[in-house]
Amino acid sequence: MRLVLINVILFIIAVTGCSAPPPEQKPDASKILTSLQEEINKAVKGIEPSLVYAELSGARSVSSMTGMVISSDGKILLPTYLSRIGVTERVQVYLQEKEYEASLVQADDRLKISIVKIQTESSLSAVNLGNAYLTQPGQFVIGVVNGGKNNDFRTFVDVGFIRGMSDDAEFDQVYSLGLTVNPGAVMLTLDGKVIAAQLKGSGTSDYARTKPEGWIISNEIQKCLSKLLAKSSSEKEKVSEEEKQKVRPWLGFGWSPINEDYAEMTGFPKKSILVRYVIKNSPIEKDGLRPDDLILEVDNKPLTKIGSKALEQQFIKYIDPEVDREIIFKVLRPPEADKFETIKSRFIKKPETREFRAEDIGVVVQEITDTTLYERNLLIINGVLVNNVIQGSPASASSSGHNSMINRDDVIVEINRMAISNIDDFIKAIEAIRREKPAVILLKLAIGSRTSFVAINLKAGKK
Amino acid sequence: MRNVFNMGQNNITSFPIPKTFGIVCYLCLILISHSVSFTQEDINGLDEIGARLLKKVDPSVVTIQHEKGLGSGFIISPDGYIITNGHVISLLDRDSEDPKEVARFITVIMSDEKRYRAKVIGHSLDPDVALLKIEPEQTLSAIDLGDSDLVRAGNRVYAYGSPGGLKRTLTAGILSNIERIDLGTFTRVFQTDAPINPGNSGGPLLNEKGEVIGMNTYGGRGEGIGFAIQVNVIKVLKEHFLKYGRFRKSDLPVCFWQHLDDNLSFAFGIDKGILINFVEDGSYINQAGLQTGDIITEIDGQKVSARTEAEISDITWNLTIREVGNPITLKIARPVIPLSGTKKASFTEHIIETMLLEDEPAVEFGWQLGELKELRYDDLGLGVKEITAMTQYYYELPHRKGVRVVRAQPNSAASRADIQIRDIITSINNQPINHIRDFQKEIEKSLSERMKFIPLVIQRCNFTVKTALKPFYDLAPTNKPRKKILVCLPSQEAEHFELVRRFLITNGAQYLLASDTENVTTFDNIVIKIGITFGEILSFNYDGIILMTGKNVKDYWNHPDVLRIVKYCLGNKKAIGAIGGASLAIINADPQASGKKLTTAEEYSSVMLEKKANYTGKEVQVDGLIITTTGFDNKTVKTFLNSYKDVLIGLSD
Repeated sequence: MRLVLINVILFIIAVTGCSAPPPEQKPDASKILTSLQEEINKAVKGIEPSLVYAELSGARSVSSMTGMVISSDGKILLPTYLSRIGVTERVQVYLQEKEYEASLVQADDRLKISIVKIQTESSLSAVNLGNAYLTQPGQFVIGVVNGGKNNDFRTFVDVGFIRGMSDDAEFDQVYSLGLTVNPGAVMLTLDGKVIAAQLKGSGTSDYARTKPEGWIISNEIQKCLSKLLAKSSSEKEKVSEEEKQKVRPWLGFGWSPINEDYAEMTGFPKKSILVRYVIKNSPIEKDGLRPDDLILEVDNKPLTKIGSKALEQQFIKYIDPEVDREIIFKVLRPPEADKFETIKSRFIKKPETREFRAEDIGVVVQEITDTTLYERNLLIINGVLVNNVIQGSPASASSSGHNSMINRDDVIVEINRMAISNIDDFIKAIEAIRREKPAVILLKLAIGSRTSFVAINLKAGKK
Repeated sequence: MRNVFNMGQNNITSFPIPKTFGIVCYLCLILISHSVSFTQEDINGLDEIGARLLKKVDPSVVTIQHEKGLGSGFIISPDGYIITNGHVISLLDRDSEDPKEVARFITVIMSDEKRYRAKVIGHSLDPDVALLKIEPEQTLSAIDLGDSDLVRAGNRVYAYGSPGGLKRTLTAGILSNIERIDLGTFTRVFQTDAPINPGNSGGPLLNEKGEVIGMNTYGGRGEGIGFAIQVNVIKVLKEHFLKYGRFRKSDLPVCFWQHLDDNLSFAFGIDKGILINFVEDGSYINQAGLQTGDIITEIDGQKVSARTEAEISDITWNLTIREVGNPITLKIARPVIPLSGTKKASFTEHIIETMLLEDEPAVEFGWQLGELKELRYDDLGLGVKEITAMTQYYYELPHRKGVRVVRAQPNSAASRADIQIRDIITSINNQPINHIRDFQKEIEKSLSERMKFIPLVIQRCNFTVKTALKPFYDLAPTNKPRKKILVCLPSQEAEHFELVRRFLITNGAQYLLASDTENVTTFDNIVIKIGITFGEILSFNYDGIILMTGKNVKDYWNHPDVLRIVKYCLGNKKAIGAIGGASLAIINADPQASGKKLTTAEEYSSVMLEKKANYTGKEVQVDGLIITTTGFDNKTVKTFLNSYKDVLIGLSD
């Protein structure tokens, strides 16, 4: 900004001659503003070819947003997480008033962005992502958004200031004053570089808010794009959403930020994460992590925040889970205040829990593992956990009024008074039912630590 | 025995209807319809019934009013016993520490507009029944109580009461169903389409003879849907209230049972009985021989059968109302495992002879308030309850050791310690907590010692959490002297003592108890040893006093030593707090204090006005260093204590 003003002033001097102006003469404000206007116009004109208007048609709704061209071959960043494109979702992209059908390349469900691709005849102009960390509070910025179909795809522009940057959320954000919030809106500096964008990963759930909300900075966007593009080039075939859901990176422990007062009382570091539980036979257990350990550093980066929320966000940001990613923890092992350990581990794909769909009865069950015990707050490990009661099945028909006899989170511990310890027992029992075809079967459920019997009439409901 | 999770099951079958049978039915319907068509005479007869009934019952139905609500009731004895709903006289304050707290000033308004103050003899929220007593000047007209076992669905009924405050309102309808257990109440209730609205609660549901067959209790679910408690249930509760002051339930702990519907009967291969869903290992009834999966076929030599939820509800009720300590004999059929899946299963039979025990207080669940008292420390933002057997099972807790957190206020010491509702506190300051008494002892010991951090161990689901509670100690801030309070108590039935005591220790204040006798009794009949008598207080080095109220507050507000102490405080910038009638001591101590804004309990307001005090009538009144309160209820006293704290903190050291 200062550079611009200096340029303006030098220009004025050059034009008016080298003699110093008489002391009583003030700088021409209108000329400064005109110059500023020109810079703004130039920046906006520069970005316009790189902004698109996109419409996402889902099963029940249509939403619209601004997108950015990120590569000349037609890749576009959209501020939404797409998972069902081509199935129940359809994305239309409008660039320079031409309509294109987009296909999904990759998507990130943390930052809530997607890379889509359109087929164009000519090369496109990609955005220029700047370095947001070089910005200053008080700096002029421009907000740009594509007005869409209703506005003949005209560009809408706001001018404002940077209020400041924040790193206490999952993604670093910049806050501005004067810029309207719109899905996918980009924030430019006066030299035309994109330094932030309005994305859902900013933590806003409602784009329509007019109070200053966080804009995700370009550095975070660039990091995410690099990961996504690297992934897409190594994947030979498209991975289904269901498969993506199953591929969850996992280490096998539960944690929470240490309570500040507890830390003060015990003399333990306040900037640490307390390990609540460690799953048996998990990678992290084999690599040495124990319950009550205090994590101080992740990948040699010390935890620096104090306070539950900030510490939690920082830790999440640092662990950055990804299957096969190696991770290093520096931990303190109480009760000694000076016993440190370095734990090296690697994320694996979260072990799948075996599930079985028993159509005969009408329940979908899963095995109960140590992980299930913690995640679903169960009190017993023997039995099978009900994940779903199939509508219209005998199990769903075994109810009275509005109360259901079997519910999600019930544990089946007996069938016909035979103990069900695990999913194999359950499968054997179902096979026996198929052979013997009884009219009624008797289940014993565990609800918390007590039990209840349910008799299911296999002729009831539709199979 | 518990049957809360009983669900009926329906066998879905269908029957073909032959054509000739259908024609015959049609002809019968024509004949029947002609025979039951109403004549003008019948209509006039119905009108007469209504009018006669109204005239008969009107003197026996009353309106019940108190500071927080209004309802109806009916007189059951000439000397003034009145039945109403428990919820009519209960404060139903979900924020209260005691779910059984009742209104203090209950007024009964007769049909002739005479008013009487009522005393609560006993009450219960489920079944929702209360028994009151008034002292009438003359003999009253008692209502006739019918027999709810004789009613049938379809019977014509009348509801009488004060819906929306409209006294002496009669509505009519029929009994739509007499086996409703869907509301989750302890007993089955009657459903009627006679309009029942707020204000009808506690009023009678009458048959055409003007006999009470039920008490209107629940409504508002939809037009034409109201519910009434059976009169036979009311009769039982009345006897309990007279004998014990409460509903004393019998039980065989710890087990859950349910009805044996068609499918369960088929699955177990037994026609009739009651299925035992769960028996806790090692429990009383387990030690007597009962096991999970047993089927009770006889109770005390009588065959039992429950095919529906309504039937099991009745059996449970009949067991619950038996006398605690009564012997009971159960005949059990124990299926031989594995079940064959056929009708002809084999069983072993067993006889269990045992005794009924008293049931635990009810647990709060759903919309039921329960009966368990909360132990609350407001200045920690923490409230806990004991963990009974039913608490463990309703809330799916792993065990019963410790106390259950029921309150963790935001921005409090409890929330700072990351304590959450449903946590179980199992250790305080490295001392194991097995019972709520342990919790109170350890937390108060830690508070009295003004521990900066109180270490806690919490069980949350399957893992253990270690944390630290950091009380704020507002009256003992760091680097400042601790506030010292003299607490003056009347010798009899001192009210709100527990609240004040907990307030003082949680805030770190030093306090001394004073009275004119060595021991005082509290309103809850606890005897407290005091630290000093009024006469022994010769020098005063306190920051303030709190004047408590009680039964003999009138002696106390004229006590020369009390007046001397109060006068000293008035002249020496000490904080003076007074609850209820104790405010009169301020005026009595120094008539010049009459210019100060004061409040007192409503029953003493006339005394204050006679003394020309500046009586405001507010629940809590602060004027400079004087804080007074009506002391009406716990909430008011807590507001008073917070104002008192603010004044104390504002006092310069």
